[in-house]
Amino acid sequence: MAIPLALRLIGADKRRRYYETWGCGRALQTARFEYTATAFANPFKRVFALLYRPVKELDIEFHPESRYFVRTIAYYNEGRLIFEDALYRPLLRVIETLARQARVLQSGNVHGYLVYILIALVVLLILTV
Amino acid sequence: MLAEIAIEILQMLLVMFGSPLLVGVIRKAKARLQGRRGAGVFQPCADLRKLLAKEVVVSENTSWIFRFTPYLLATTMLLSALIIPVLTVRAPLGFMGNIIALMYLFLLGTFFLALAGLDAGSAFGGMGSSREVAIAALAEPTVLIAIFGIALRAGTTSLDGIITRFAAEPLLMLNAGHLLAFFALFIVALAENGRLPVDNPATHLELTMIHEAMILEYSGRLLALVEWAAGMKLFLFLTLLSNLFFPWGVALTNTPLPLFVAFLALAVKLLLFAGAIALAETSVAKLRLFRVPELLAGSFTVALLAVVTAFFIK
Repeated sequence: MAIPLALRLIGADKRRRYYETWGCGRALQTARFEYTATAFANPFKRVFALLYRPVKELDIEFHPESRYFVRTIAYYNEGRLIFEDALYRPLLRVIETLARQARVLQSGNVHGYLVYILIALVVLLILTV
Repeated sequence: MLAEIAIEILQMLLVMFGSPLLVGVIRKAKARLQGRRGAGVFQPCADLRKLLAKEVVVSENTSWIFRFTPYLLATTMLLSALIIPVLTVRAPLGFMGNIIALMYLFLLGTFFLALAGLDAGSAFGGMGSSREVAIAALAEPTVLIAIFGIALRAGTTSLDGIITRFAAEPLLMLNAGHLLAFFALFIVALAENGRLPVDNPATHLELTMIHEAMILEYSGRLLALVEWAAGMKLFLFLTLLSNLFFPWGVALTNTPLPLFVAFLALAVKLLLFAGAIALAETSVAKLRLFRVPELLAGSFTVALLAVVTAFFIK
């Protein structure tokens, strides 16, 4: 808070003018020129390419006359998560297999469930004795 | 009490007015080494004065962050000047923060500057912020580990404590780990301050700049504050390096004579550092952006070795 005051004291200019962002000479600017989140994260993606394993696809359709004229351009980019691929997916698969096998017990038959209760009861009785 | 306040103010004034001078000295030394005559050492001061007298042009697309950041930068640097033992280890406010708090105070400034770079919506600002954040994130582990390297040997993370300990037992510094930690921190200091192997402070070429790209939209007194804060950051980093690793001359008591000696010692040490930086910047070319991680990984390894030796070599 003291800094604006100090600036005033040493006689700093206090005029302020609003103008558009510098566009390197481009006359018309839109929000499309802004840096995107993907672009922002790109250095990280490249530095840690070993971890993220980015997949990049670039399709450019050139004008038949010259390669300097581009008709359409399509960029596709996907980051893989190494933890998801190497840790969570296998873990999930194991658990799913186990669950599927456990489903055999749950047949939906009421008589079956009564048998389970009887078995549990007998086992508990044997354990307590 | 009054004397203590006077000392804090003295330290702050030293940092405030010393920083443009330091930048000027580095530029002058660099110019001489490159066979140019170069501007006088007071040129950065003159630049700041000129900028302060100019009108500010603010982009229509910015938010309060853009206008707030220069003040935040200057404030964090002045706050650090109160904490760092610039002249004396008995800085009355030294208890407020240790070396870890200090590094994160610097990082707060970096964070806000990156936000401000994005704020105006210019592609250059975004590019600068993106690179700065990537480099800061890579430099961060090195800073902490190198600091632990020296803190382990000194047995404390307090800045005053480390310097007092090393001044009392200079043999502690005669150690491979100490040297390794110094080199690691020096490389990181170059990276954090946008000096040459990582970023060129003299360039305004769009595709290579990092720090300059972030502050491209600033003008007038706001630019003056940002530039001044960047100068103070360099001054503080070099002060920290020289006082932590070469603690000779730092005043252990707050009496006039040791303080004067400390002032002279600091001036000599900073001049040596300025010379070293000028020499390094003349002989080294800027690294390609995607080679920077290798440099920082190297300094990280050195820092790690510094910590490991702290356990093996007592």
